[in-house]
Amino acid sequence: MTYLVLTMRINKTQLMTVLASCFLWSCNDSQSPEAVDIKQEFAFVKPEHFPEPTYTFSNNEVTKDGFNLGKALFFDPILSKDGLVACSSCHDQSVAFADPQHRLSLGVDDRVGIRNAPQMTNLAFMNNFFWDGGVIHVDFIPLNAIENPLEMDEKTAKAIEKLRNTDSYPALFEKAFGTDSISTPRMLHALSQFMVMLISADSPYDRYRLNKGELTSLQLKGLEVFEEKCATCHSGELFTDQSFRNNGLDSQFDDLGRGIITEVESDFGKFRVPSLRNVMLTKPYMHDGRFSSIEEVLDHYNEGVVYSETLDASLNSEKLGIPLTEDQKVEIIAFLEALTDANFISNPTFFK
Amino acid sequence: MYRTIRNILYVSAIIIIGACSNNDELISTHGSIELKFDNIVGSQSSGIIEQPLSQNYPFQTAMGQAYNLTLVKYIISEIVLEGPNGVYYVDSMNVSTDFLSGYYLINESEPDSRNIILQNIPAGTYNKVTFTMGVNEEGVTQGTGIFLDGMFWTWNSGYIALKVEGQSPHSNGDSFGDTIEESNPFGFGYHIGGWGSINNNQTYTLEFDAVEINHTKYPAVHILMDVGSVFDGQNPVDFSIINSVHSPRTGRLITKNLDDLFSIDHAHQ
Repeated sequence: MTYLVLTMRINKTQLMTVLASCFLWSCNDSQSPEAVDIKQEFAFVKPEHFPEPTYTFSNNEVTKDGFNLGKALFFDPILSKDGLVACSSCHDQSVAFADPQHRLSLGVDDRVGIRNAPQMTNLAFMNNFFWDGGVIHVDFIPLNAIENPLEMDEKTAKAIEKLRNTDSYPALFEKAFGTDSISTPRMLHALSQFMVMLISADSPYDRYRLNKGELTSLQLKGLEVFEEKCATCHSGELFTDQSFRNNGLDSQFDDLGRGIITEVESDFGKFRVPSLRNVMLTKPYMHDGRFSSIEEVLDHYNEGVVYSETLDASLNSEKLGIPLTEDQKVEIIAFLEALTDANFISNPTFFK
Repeated sequence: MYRTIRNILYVSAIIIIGACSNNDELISTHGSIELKFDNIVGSQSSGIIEQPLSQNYPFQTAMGQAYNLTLVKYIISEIVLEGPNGVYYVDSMNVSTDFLSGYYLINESEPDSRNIILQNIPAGTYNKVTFTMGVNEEGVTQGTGIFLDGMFWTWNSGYIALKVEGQSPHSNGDSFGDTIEESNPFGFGYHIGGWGSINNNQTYTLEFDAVEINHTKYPAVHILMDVGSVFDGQNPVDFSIINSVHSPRTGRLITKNLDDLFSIDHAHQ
């Protein structure tokens, strides 16, 4: 309080100068103005119609250098045991970071995984990840892929060791974090900075939603049908309610899905409701990629749903599934086309 | 003009003093304490770790099954110190890229890790400590930062509160862990974790003979962790039936044995 009284006698500029010089003199952690500017130039920005992000930016703010390091790691097979499999091996930008090649993901030594690699968009807004939701924070996503024996089959500590022994990475870590000392948290935070920036919010649907563009009349009809038939689960601007549901694929389960995580029978055979953004690009469909086209998916809901104990209530009426006419299928597909974000898949920011 | 300069000097002095006086103040009104974790099995208090594949079995469960230990590791968090006169200290927990506080990894095989030194504790008389074994939601949802030194389930995000591994001639092998291969014919591995719908993190409150903390007194509290109690208790462990625990639900069986895992040996000034 004392110094507030004193400041009344000197003008603002003088005070600021004094304060600045005192702080500079007593502490060494103040940032240069340039550093602040760079951060402002390249930052996470929430699309106006999206929900609040779930990611913890408070302990990992996105910077250009952090993002670039994350991008380098994403495309680098060094993280895998045999040095041949990168994150990008199964996550391809041209199809919204899904896997265009394989029904089930392919890991080191051509090991075949148990599930289809999902797309990677709008991760900053999700509260669980992977088909079973076992991972609950973006930072932990890479650990699951790196250590899974069917994916990269590498120990995280070993991956860190390998990065330390490269010529390039110490300098990239120095730029991103101000130290060339490579650690697991820094590696994961850099990868997160890349992943949370993968925002897809510029599809024809978004432009329509924000009154910046039009949808065709067929797409508008499709939107109407979609809201009635699909939006119970594929809800909101993320086109998923992020819940786990059994959509009637099997009467018995080879893969317990969510049940593996919660270990309760009522979750057996349930999988995460996937986002439908860019869905026309992300075939094949379902957790095991069993459907190779969107038509097959709609046929499944119309006539293929089978009963099991945990079948979702919304599909479990007198006639199982969701009744769809041929016209409605065409309309829904027209609407789903409007969820393809051409600018996202061609955005050079994400190029290798 | 003279007045302005005088004022500037005044302001500078106050700010500089303000910025630097914290440490002096802390030295006279605060102190440190050490929590020493002694990992034991019954009456054996040192040398409890054997090499993997060792067929020397120095310990026995209440069911009469011999065993040895190859790994004992656990996480301590949420430490609170209290005293009879109302002093109360909460060890702050922070997770960021380069800074971690409030989470401690105790590894029997790394002697230095067994001592937790808490600093800047308000001076006073203390006789009670509370802590949690494991990492609760607050820590998990902050993302990376906490030691991932193997104490983490990558497929089911969450920290492993306790790892106990070893061998028993009663085990049928095919277990796994940091020190136990599936090919180890007698191995066992119990990894206890889970912070969500199944929460296996246990909180312990222990009382000890009152000690003084201030800038000249640096007390230590010796806490015993009896690994033997992992196998004995409400759910006695039969190595021939359950030798591999790697999920929250199966860990629940073991957790029921852990109510009295920790106890106070003694506290001294």
